[in-house]
Amino acid sequence: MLPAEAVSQINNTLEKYPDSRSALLPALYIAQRHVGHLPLDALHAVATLLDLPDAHVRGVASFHVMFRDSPGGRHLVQLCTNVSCMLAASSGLLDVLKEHFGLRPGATSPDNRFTLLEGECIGECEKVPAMLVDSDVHTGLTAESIIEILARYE
Amino acid sequence: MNNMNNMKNMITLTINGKKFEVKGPVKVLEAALQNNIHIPTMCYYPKIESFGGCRMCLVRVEGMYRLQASCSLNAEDGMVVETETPEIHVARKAMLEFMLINHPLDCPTCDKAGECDLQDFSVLYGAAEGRFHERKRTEPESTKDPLIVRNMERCIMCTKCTRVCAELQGASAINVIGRGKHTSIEPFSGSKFDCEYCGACIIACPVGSLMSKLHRHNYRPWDTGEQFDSTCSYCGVGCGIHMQIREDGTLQRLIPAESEVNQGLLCARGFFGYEYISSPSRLTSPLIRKDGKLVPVSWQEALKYVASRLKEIRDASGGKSLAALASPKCTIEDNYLLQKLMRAGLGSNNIDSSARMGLAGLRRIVGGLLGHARTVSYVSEMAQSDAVLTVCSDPVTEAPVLGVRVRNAYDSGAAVITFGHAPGLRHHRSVTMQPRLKEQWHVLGALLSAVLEIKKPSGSREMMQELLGTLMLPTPEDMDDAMPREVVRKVAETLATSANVSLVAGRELACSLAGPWSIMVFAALAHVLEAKVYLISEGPNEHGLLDMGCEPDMLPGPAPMTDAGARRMIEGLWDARLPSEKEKGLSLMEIFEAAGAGDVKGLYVMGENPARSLPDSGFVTDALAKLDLLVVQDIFMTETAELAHVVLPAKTWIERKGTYINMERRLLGIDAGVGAEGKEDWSILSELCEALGLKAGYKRSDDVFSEVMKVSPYYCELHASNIRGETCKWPAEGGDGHEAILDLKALRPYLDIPPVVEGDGFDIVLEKPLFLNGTTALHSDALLRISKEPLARMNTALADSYKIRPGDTLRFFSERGEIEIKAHIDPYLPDNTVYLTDTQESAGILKYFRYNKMPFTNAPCKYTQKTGLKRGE
Repeated sequence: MLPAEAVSQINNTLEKYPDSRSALLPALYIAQRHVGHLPLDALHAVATLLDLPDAHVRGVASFHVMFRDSPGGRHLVQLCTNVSCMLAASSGLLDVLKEHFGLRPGATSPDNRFTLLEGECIGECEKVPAMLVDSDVHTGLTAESIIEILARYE
Repeated sequence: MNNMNNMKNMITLTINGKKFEVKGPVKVLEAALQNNIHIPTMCYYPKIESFGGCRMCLVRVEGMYRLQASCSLNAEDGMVVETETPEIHVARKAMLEFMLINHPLDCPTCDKAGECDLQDFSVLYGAAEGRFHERKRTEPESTKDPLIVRNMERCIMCTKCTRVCAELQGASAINVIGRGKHTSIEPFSGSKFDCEYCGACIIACPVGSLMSKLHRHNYRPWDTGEQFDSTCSYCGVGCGIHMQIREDGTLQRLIPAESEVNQGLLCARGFFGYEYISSPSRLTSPLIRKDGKLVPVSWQEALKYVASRLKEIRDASGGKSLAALASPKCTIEDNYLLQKLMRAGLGSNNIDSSARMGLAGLRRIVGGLLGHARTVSYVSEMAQSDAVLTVCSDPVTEAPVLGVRVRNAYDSGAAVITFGHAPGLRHHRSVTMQPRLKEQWHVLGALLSAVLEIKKPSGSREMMQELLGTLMLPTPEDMDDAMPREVVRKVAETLATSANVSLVAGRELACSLAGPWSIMVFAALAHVLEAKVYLISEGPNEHGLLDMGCEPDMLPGPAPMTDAGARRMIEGLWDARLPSEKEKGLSLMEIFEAAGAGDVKGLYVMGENPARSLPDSGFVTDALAKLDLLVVQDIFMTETAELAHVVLPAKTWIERKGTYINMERRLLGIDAGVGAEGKEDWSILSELCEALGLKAGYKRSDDVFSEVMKVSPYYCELHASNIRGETCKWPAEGGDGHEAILDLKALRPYLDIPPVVEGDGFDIVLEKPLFLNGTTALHSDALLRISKEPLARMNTALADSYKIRPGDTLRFFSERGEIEIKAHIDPYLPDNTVYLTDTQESAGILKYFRYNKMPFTNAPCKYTQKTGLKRGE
């Protein structure tokens, strides 16, 4: 079951879309923000709210890397490792995250603050390297700025 | 004009050097297939959107740069296509090489071996050697589901299963999960399918990824001996089923047939529900009660005993003291003979059946007013509707394949309006109208008056004009509290402005507490909307048994008991006397009332289990116990059989020949696939007829059907069209049955708006389960394994007011009794309503209800005066 606030946010979001199928991704974002990840009962609750088949919702959630089916840290960090960012040395940033926050790709920091994923392109290739923290975009990262940015997320 | 259009749609194309003319629009693959040119495919499935995923159907089209996927390429005039060239073979071999990278090649232990497309095409195109050295995918086979084995190592990701599940069945129970090399096909839970178990994914799978557990590791396609086409006997749809028999004469499996009715679809009952035929609890020997116990006896002894006891009661107390229940599970031949035995052999008109609770009244009023031709519509045509209104019916559980066709209609853009509770259509409805039970029929009346505000009935059906002039209706304003008038008007507008409307109704309408008025409202809606009418029959042969005169006031034909011509003809043919037309026979519940009062002393029950299946079953059971003679002819030791004096073992539809009439009034045959103990119902009855001095002498069920054709001219017509291969429903185009035949005078007392019956507390709605719909289903192991626990479902508000938590055991009580059932809370259910699973198990849900006999139709309408509930310990 989703918290009441998540339900009302999803219902509000629904109004912005022509049909519930197109509101699925934003609804999943909302659910994940409130629950932390998307277990089966959260997917079922989203499916019920949107009047969509359960299996369809799970299919969509399982396809996208930004949705997690198991608990993770409080914030999801997706550091882009596609060509442009890689050329701008995003792999060096992975080392910084490992040293400073104890973060490894695919894992959660010991203090349960962050989960790190090697992300795919987020379309910020002119301001590389780039990353997503939850749904905030951060660009032009350096070893210093990445530490400073993540420090803002508790 | 039509000719012009046809000309325009005709496409001439050349395939492999030959010219063909095909009707467009059509894909190249289908154009080839229509002309017997087979192009290999893995992901193509007729009747759903083409996908173009497997690339096996590649062809060369002159003038096009690359090879084309013929499944998704529209055929065009003048196209020149090659389907088998060395270049194409190389391409197909390459595609197979890709598919085999991950495939485990475990054919020796795969149930699909021998009818596997991947295996066949590998042989055909010689993809024996692969150039890839990737590791094979390893993932243990999932056997967590009770019926479906899922093997993702073998999967080639054609996604045919998920597309069939979503687009054809409308269940969307499985989907592609994950991405890239980790993709798999999974149900929502990842383990149990928890779906409708229609089996469509198993049939669609081109490899051994989805398989039935029912014949796991004991099925080899080449072991199949004889094969028969037959008709499923679980409901009134009458789906075509293909029986595969092993060489040793046992049943190998059942698969859907491409019949005109179901076109390759089945439901769980049809696909998985056949194990009951080999259930150890099948009756094998006739039994007679001696010293209080049922003991095995020979057939000779049993039949002699039955005949002599029937005669004794007839001679001592008259034919009136004997009664019989016919069965919609039994064939036309069986029911015809039972009725002949009762009328001519025993002089009794007391014959009725469970069709009394549904089709008997519906067909008499709706068919009588509109003409019977209007009350039968093709199941397959449902999908072409522009608007569908289901009236207190969930076709997905009552007539599953019809329900699927409603979903198909919705997916093609139809407005689907569910009036009343229809959980099977929850993802396939545009509007749902769910008024409180006490007012629901009045809201339907308001809907009719809203439709009449917009649309005037056309045509010259005098009786309907007269009915519409005299039928009293509430206005949407009158019913505003029960259902907002805007909703009623909006739905009325949708229905009145749609060209092709379909109406669906079943037993709930037939047993409406608002009486014949509600059935007339339904008929009038159908008339004004010029709608196709789907009257659901829950048994496979309800129309057939009604046609055979298994009603107290009808003769086979069907003809009214008072029809002097029919009486003369039948008496001549049988060389026997019919009971006097003044002898008013007893209907279903009247039989038990008379048994309880001691007026009916002997009852012959064929293929019915009244002790479980009728409302107020406690009263019914007491009445059965009072009988001097209870003969039960069945395949199982039912609750009714346990009370019997004589039990006669019959055969199932898989073990015998015969004919059914389905809800479309189509004549359908069943065939004997396997042998069994027991006798066919008609043959037991034939012997009893002879013992009672009637001329019988039937050697095969065909002999009985020949006699039926002499009695019923329209069966002659049906039979003739079947022989011509048309499997035509009656009445044939332009034939009889378009006339209204009901005398409106008889309905005049019911034209007023019935009063709203105020009840206290909450409403109880029985939810029919999809899997367990009767005795045969209860003896099918597979259906028991997937059936869900009976639940009382309610919303949070109602649960809170009784302080109920999910999983609590609840005790519901009425003036008739108590039942215990587990609570389930679903916040999305309507207020003040409890939905109880009606499993027909001895949990005794029907014991909890009383009944009223509906005036005019005598249908038993369930009700309770007091309802209450307590939390159990």
